[in-house]
Amino acid sequence: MTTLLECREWLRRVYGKYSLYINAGIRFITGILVFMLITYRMGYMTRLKNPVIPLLMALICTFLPANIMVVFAMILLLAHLYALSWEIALAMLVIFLILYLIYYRFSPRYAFVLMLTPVAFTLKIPYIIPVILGLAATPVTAVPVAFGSVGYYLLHYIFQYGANAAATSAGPGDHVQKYVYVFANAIKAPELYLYLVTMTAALFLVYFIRRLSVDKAWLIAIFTGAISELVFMLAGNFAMDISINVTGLVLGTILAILLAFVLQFFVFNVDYSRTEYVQFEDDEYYYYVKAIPKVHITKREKTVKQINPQKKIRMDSSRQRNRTELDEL
Amino acid sequence: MLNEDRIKVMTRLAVFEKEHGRENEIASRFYKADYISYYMIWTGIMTTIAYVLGLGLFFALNFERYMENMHKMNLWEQGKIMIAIYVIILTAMLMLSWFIYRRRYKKAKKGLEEYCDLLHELEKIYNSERYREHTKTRQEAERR
Repeated sequence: MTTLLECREWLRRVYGKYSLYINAGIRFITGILVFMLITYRMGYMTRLKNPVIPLLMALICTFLPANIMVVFAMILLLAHLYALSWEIALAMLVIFLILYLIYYRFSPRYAFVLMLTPVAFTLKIPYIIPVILGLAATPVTAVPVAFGSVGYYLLHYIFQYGANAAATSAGPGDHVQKYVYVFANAIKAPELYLYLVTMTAALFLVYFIRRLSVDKAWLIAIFTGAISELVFMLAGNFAMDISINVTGLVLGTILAILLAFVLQFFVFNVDYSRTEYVQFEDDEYYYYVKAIPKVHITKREKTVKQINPQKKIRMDSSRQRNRTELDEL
Repeated sequence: MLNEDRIKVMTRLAVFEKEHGRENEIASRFYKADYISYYMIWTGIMTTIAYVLGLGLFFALNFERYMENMHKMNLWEQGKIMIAIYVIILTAMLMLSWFIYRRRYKKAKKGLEEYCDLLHELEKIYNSERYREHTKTRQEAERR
């Protein structure tokens, strides 16, 4: 445990010193992951299928605020969808606009959740999302999670539609049919509702339990959240007659628990103060200040174990001598 | 001359402005009621636009069904249902925005108090600097 704590303090110190570069690195890696996934899964516009484009977009996002990445991802996705069918692209644009109008005006801080939920679904680890958000965010994040899940299912059926269209080489025409096919299938998918209920319930559970004033509340929250997901999904699997991969579900739950532990210990539980760069002026000077946070490292306590018993015997014998002397007196 | 204490306070102020500048501005520029009502009006407008967009999407999805059954439908009843749904959504959104912006204003006000404390501290340092300078010039004048 001490080693882990030392490791955490080391991480905190390194982050405090190099936060600028670490944040940029995280943004770059996330950008590459998201843009590559969109390009290779939805690559309908051949002009944008060049790997340089997602790389370049990720590089630009590295130097811009995190929410810009969401806008870039949406633009890239809409461009690919436009190449497939302008009706579907327009419908997706309307959904994004509705989401922006009713949700992101209130809470733009969690814009990235909308983007990361479909990514987690694609990587087959959607169970991680509610546990992590319940630990680190607020219950309002259930809204972008829900929109992200709907988005994933829409994209899933768009992908299916694209594959069918390519196989049957269907030309343009019957515009409404394309649009209806995708939306009607996504809305009718029972898995979508099961995921929505499970994820929202788990997120609320984790959030409320971790706020309880009991010892190790976060530990109980992680376990309860992950197990509730497992139970909900299994119950839904039987009740709604859906074929969900049970092995994947169990492995995903275990992975969610492990990742939640790691993040809770190394990220959410620690105050990662970062280096601040500020500029100000007074009547005489301009100041360009770099403020580095002070970090106190808890060093491992060294215990010295006495293995030489001779001294003790000698002490005992001297004590005994003193006692006999006292008795004689 | 550089005053280390003053630079420390100024740095803390600059960091505070960088992180909570927007909230500070909210709390200092608006009265609570003005702030909440301003954002509630915006929420109302945005919800209306979102509802119209959603309605458009719904009609496009059910376009064929509506075209085929238009003559059988009671359009007035349909309209009433749509207006009722709109009123419910609008009320819910307005209540939510009242709650959120009220909380946000309270938080901003608290932050502004912290900021004011730092400003007072800076003022004290400036005053003591001025006093020191004043005594120094007076002593020099007396010496002459």
